[in-house]
This record gives sequence, C-alpha cells and structure tokens, in this order.
Amino acid sequence: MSEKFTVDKIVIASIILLLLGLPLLGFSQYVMRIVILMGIYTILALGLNILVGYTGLVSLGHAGFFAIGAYGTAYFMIQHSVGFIVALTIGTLLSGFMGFVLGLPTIRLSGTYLSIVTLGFAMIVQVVIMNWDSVTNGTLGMSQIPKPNILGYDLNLANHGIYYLMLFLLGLVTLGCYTIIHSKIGRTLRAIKSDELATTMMGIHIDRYKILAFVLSASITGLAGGFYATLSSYIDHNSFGFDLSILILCMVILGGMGTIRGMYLGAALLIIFPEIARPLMSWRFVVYGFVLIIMMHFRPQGVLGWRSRRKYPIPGEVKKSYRMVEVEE
Amino acid sequence: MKKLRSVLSLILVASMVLALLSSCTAGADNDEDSPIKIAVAFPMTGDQAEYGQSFLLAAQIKVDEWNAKGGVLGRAIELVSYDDKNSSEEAATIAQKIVSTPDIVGVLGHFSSGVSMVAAPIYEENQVIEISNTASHPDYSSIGDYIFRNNAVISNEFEVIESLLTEDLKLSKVGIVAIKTDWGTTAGAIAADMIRNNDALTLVGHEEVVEGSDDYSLVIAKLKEAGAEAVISVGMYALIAPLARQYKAVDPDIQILGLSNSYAQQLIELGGEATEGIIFPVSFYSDPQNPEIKRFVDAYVESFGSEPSALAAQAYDSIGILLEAIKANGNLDRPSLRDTLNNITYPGITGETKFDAIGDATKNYTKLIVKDGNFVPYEN
Repeated sequence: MSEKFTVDKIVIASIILLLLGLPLLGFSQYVMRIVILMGIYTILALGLNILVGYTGLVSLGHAGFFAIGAYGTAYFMIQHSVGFIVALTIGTLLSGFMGFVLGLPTIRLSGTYLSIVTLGFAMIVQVVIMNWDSVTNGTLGMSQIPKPNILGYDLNLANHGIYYLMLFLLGLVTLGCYTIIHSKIGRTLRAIKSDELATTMMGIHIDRYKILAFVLSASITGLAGGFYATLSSYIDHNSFGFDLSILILCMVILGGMGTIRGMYLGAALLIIFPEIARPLMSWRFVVYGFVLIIMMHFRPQGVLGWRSRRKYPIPGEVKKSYRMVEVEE
Repeated sequence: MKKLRSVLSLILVASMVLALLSSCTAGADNDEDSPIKIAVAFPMTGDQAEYGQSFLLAAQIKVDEWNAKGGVLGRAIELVSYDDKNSSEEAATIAQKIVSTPDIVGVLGHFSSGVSMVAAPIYEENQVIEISNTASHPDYSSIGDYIFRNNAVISNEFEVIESLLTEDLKLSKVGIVAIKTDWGTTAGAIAADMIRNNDALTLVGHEEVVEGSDDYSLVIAKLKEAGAEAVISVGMYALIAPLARQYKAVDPDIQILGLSNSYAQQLIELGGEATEGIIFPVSFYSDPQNPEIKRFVDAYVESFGSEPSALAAQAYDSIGILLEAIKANGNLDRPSLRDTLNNITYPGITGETKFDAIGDATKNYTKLIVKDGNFVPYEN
C-alpha cells in the first residue's frame, strides 16, 4: 500500500510542477488560451460533479449558474468599479444563493422531473439576461470587462497572470472538493445517492444536504463564470446556452462520475478534441458525437471511473471496539 | 486488464496533447514560394452555417479569379477557413490561432457583431487586418486601426428609407418590428430615432420579437390598432417573409419596408404573394446588365444553387479590396499594408468602396421592390 502511495505522490507532484512551469515552455497564446479554457471547464465539471457524481441529482441548468457568476462579476466590475476579487466573490455568492433557491424544489422532486426544473431555470436565466437591459445590457451583451487586477498587477494572457490565476482557482476548487468529499458531508451525499430511504432512516435530514449540494455546486460554477467573464472581456446571452450545460455534463460522465481525476480528463478531452479536429471542419462534431457514443457503450463508468482500491481508513476507536467484540466472541 | 486500460487511456491523452502542441508549432515559413494566406472565419456549422458557407464560396470565387491571373506579388493566394460556430468563445480561440500563424495577412470575418467584437482586439493587438462584411454594431470599426467594415453602417440605410417614406410614398405613420438580437436592438433604436427626429413622420409603435418565433399576430394587432401605414422590418428574410404574410392577411394595404439583408431569394420563396410590393435599399443586386456582376453571380449560382445575397457580394468585394491593397503596397509589411488599404478606392460589385478614417466603408444604395415574384429596381 505504501509503495502505491508514493507512486501517487510522485505523479501528482510532477503534474503540479509541469503545470507551474508550463508558461516557461514558450507556447503561443493560442495554446495557453486552450489550457486556460480547460482549467475553466475542469472547475465547471468539478462543480457539477458534486451534484451528479456524488449526490445523484442530474442538473441540466448549470449554464444558468455560470451566467449568473459571469454577469454578477462583470456588473459589479463595470458599474460599481469594484476590484476583481470583491466582484468575483459577489458573483460566486449570487450564484450560490440562486443554487439555494433552485435547491428548494429538490425536496419534492427527483429524477427526470428535477432535471427538467433545472433545464427551465437555465432558460429563464437566459431570457432574463436578454430582457433586463438596465443590468445586463440586453442582447448587446456586456463589453469591455476589465482584466483582473490583483495588488496593482494587471493579469493577462501575455504575462501569464491569467494562467496562474486559473491554476490558483483550480487548485482551490480541487482542494475544496477533496475536503468536502472526504468529510461527513461527502459521505452523506454518497449515502443519499445510494439509497435515500436508508439515509433518512439513519437520522439524516437529506433535504438539507441536497440543498447544500446545490449551493456548493452553484457557487463553484459561479466562480468559474466570474473568471470566464474577465478572461473573454465580452459576454452575451449566446455564451450561456443549453449546449453548455450539456457539454459540462458530458465532461463529468466521460471523465468518470464521482471522481476528481475524471473531471480533469473529461474537460481536457472535450476541449482538446474539437481543436485537433479543426481541419475536419463541419464533420468534427459528427466524429465527436460518435466517439462519445462508442465510449458510453464500452466504458459507461467513464474513462477514469474506477473505484479507489485504497482501503477506507477506519478510525482507531472503531477498530479498537471491533477488536473487543472479536475477543469477547 | 484494468491496469492495461488505465495505461491505454493515459497514452490516449498524452498523444492528444502532443498532437495539439505539434499542430501549433508547425508552419510559419514565409518564403517567396509559399502562398499568401487569408483567413475566412465564419459559422460553418450550426444555425448560421448557411451564411458562413456562402461567404466562403464568394471569397473563393474572388481568390480563384486572382490566382488565374497569376496571384498577387507573384505568389498564389490561399484561403484558410475556420468555423467559429457564431460563438464568441470559439471566435476568441480562432483569433488566437490565426495571430499565432504568422503567414496569415488578413481575416475576413466574423459573422455577428458581438462575435466580431470579441475577436477584434486580438487582431488589433497583433496587427492582423480584419474585414467584416456583416458586422453592423456602431462601435465595431472603432475598436482599432486594423479593424475594417465592408458593410452598410445601418444609419445610412435608414436615410434611404426616410426619403422613401417622405418623398416617394408620402406615408407618415410608421411602425417598427425588430428582432431581439444585438443587431436588431441597435438597428431598431436607430430607426426609432430617425422617425422621431423627422417632423413628417410619426412613430406608432416599436416592437421587438424573438427571432424564429413564427407568430407575429400580437405585434401586428398592436401596430394596426395604432394606425400604422408603413412597417419597417428590422431583421433577415426569416422575419420579413412571415411578417408580410401575416400582416397582409389583416391589412392588405400595409406598406412593408425592409433593409438590405432582406435581399435573398428565400424571401420570395417563403413569403409568396404577400411579399409583392416590399421595398428595401440594397448596395448590391444581381443586375444582369453589369458584366462584372454577371460573372460573379454565374460562378456563385453554379456552385451554390441560388443567387448571392448582398452580404455574400460584400464578402467577394472584401477579399478583392484586400488583394488590391497588397498589390498596391508591393509587400506584406503590416503597418504600411494597413495604410494602403485605408487609402485605396476599389471599384467593386457593391459599388465604389473606400474605407474612412475609422475603417467604415460608405455604400451607395439602389432601391428594390418585389414585383411579380422578382426583385426589380424601384422607380416612383
């Protein structure tokens, strides 16, 4: 076991080193932009994974949260000229709050019905963006969103500031997800996914946990949205359509639901593939769909969707009492 | 077995990343024999694919004409086409890809104003000339020195409509139906201003409709109630055709006016008899008397199967003016090429084209009317 553990550590350490040193390798801005997009979509997939992968609630409306985060951040940066960090926090909180609101119907709804409610939510967000001219500038979209500025440094593609900001946010979200999943909350969410009734019988208020899962998921998605707004410096309602929600869901499923490593792979594959396949022009999405279908047939749990073989660390107290039972017998 | 699978998936990922990186570092040779490259970036898939495909074809026809004459500066010309799916995210990525390819001198694109405006700062920063044959947002061409527009600035088109209403038709009560997109909202507001500022005209209604919703009866009832005599349709043929059909059913005397982007064969196919009498200004129409136009239209129809729109003709001219500028400049030095492009006057099929200080081209308009299922010049 310990041998495996060190191998894991080496792999993770070298990946982190590679990511930190990537800008030094002198790639063009185009490649760096793709890498940053991969980072954003990994964050999005990690956010949705909390709902789909761990709690078993399928959301088709994450483009809505993404839009709220993006518009929230952009609005406060442009109209109230607050700093990037404050605006991003507000955007994230706004999105989290909407997650709470959308989480409420989950008390009554499950399965397909819930998915349809989330789908409707994303549509409503899009229509509101199109019509709430005084805040969202309607169909004209918000342009000239300032680049993030942290402690007086302008972060952009050329000085790789935006890349490191992405790495920081990605690291933060990954760490956050890891902590949540390996805490009591994470275990409860997985219990809800496996059997709601049994979880209730254990004395757990499953409604609270479902809403909590929605809030967490929406906040992470909103965070990605706020970052995306400053990266692209222009957002309009077209960027937050239904296909975005589906794309994020595809990443979660392809990578491997309920794993963190899978989100990285899912986002990377689905962002890189259309870029490599650019010479195929209009055929690339046909191939794309075909690959997804083949994948789902031969590996429905996703590329990296295997269960960890590491033993569950049973706390010492439990072990002790277990041994006592054995001795008595 | 499981180990094998995980190893396999790792190899798969690694090879994909490598392929991506290698595809980006290749190229960049700019010697005398290699062709001069021009990028064409439009939606080639999705809802707007029809436009992208038609512009690419129009651009290719122009390039073929030049290549047949021996290219420009003694080198062949090659178009490189990109699909931006009419999404600003894709467009920004494509723009980065284009500016990372040093032998691309200019870009024809992108389709909608919003998308063009995301990509434009990237071109400007890297001194790549962008000519859009479709963007109509007032702020687009002022984004930078390298950003040009070979499309009607919408306010000029409304001046034609204004004179049409007051002098030719002598109608005063005007309604506006605009599609709810970035373009429709801007253009609709300009039309409303034009009517408000003219004492001879009264604005009886300004309605916004969602593009592609095919029932406009509510809007029509409102305008009819307000006593509209003429309605300006601010949208593509997909708006004006059903609008005319439904409005004529309620009020057969209504005068419907369109903008230059109504000029498409599909307008008559979709709207049938109801389109009779629709008048709109155009910068281009397929006039069989003009040999230049006839040559383009014939080549276009042969490949595409239908007549070119005004926007496709502007794509054809945009490539033409860029190549003419390269020829006049004599080299591919970016800043001097930009200045040359800004200074030449190009006699194209959409009239004389000359870019002004901020990069807008002024257009001359002909008025067309639908008569017996054909587009013919309007004469009072």
